[in-house]
Amino acid sequence: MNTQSINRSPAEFGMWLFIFADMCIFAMYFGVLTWDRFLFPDQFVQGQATLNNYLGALNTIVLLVSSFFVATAIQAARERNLGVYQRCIKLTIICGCIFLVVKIVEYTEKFQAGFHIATNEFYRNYFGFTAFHMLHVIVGLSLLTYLLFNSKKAEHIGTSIQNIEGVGLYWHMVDLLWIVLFSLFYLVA
Amino acid sequence: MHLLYKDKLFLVLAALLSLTLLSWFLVRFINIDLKNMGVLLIFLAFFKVRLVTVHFMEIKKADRPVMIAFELWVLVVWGITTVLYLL
Repeated sequence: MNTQSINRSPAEFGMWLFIFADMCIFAMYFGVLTWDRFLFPDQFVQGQATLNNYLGALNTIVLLVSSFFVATAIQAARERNLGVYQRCIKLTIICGCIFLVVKIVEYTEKFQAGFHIATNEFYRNYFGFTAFHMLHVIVGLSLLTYLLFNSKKAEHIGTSIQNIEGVGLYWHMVDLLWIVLFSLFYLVA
Repeated sequence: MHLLYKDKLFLVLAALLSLTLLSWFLVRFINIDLKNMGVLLIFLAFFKVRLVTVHFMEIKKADRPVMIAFELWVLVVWGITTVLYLL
């Protein structure tokens, strides 16, 4: 599929504003997380050792692949290619569901080991921020499901292209926020 | 037949996955100073964020103030995160 150029802003200005505001909220979370790491280094070292790096990396890969599917879906929508569009939206939804399942498995592991949000500063950050991110994933999946059920004909995707691009933007935001969370929680010592 | 390797979006995905695996590999197998490793990992994370904003979100096609705001967000958040990490 050739990347189709557009001569306008992808998605409406209001959507960009909303995305930016949400990213600023998460930016503050990143600051709080990094500051708490400075204040409680031992808790963060011990807490990080309890995280499952494999599941974290799997979730990162899943979200990156889902972003590719969403971007491809948007290209298909611009070309009025209903088949590819619907397939890519479905694949994105599947990726999102895999992310949720993996996250639930991770949380279950932690709860069974006796860790919860009030255990210490590390787990307050971990459960708080990843749960807030997971909420964004659920909202994103709801929007993608709406797009899927609202695309019975190629004309439908033609008339709602900016809505589709807006949902795509939201999903990419969910992905890029997880990229940072994964690095700060799972990788950075 | 659709040639996947010529698809720009697929190439961006390949780059993102490679950088993710590189980060994971560095943590697991490379023995360098923890602070330097942390700075490198944070840089790689925000480099990936920029790849997503530029190629997937098409930020360069957005209105100029939006583009500037998003580029500044990446730069400022990367900088502050790195500075706080180095404290």
